[in-house]
Amino acid sequence: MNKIKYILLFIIPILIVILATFFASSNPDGLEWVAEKLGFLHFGKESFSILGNYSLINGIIGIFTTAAILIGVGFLLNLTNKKKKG
Amino acid sequence: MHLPDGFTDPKISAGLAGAAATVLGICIVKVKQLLSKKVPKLVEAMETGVGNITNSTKSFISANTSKIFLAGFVGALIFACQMFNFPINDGTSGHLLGGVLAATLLGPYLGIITMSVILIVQSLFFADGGFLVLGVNIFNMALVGCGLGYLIFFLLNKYLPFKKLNFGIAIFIASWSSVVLASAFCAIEVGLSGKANLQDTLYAMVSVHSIIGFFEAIITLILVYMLKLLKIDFGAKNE
Repeated sequence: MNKIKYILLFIIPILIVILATFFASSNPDGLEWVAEKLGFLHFGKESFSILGNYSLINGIIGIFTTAAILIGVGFLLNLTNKKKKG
Repeated sequence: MHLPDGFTDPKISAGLAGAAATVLGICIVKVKQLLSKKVPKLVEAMETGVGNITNSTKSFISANTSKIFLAGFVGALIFACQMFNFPINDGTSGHLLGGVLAATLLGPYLGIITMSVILIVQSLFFADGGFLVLGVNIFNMALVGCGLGYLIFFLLNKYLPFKKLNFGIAIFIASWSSVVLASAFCAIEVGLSGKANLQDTLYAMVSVHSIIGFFEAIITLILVYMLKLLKIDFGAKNE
């Protein structure tokens, strides 16, 4: 029961990503806006990235990558615990 | 408030990366202990957040795995919410940081790790926050936003005199202050790097983020109560 529940839960972030790709504001965020106003925006450098922009597919990839890393790290920590005991 | 590369001095970036790494190390040790040991109730309540009430050893074992899955879910949820920029006055926008959300659902240690993983994915995959200033961003949004935010939440939840209302009020105030504090740290780092006047940056950042903070507080409250309504057993039940 619980496992199905956790999988179904992921509908919520996926829905939020779908809504975000349609309705998110493209205005600069707080920091960028301040940087523009106070004239230090030009110091910012473009850095490399694997996927680039936040599109619908990229957002969903991002969600599952984050979840996978966290669950992976969690089980790794749990696993090393058990080894120590035995 | 994800800093791009170039806004901060390399010295500050390196120093804060060191601080972030140290605290993350402590968090990993603490989470490992939490996953392996049955801690006394009082310490547990302090360390694991409000959701986790376990009594028997049996339920504790399944609580471990549920906690891990819950961390994955909360990470995904906050990642999604951070994509959703809502417009604010004067051509700017804001989005949820989720520090206090992560801390109340997962406890501060797992919360800080969750926030850091989100920031790492954002930086590597989307260049949202530069890779060289990853340590600074983790310091601002995970350590300050989540860690300090949880401390404020914990103290208010314990000492406010409103009984049943304490929880909601504590979440509201803590999430607002977590955003404002994180933005203040961000401004100080930029100011100390000599890229802009410290006082002007601090004033501008704090005033914009005190508006964004209200949205943060409202969204955090909605999400926490929504998850409560969905009866997500934060590791309390057996499978």
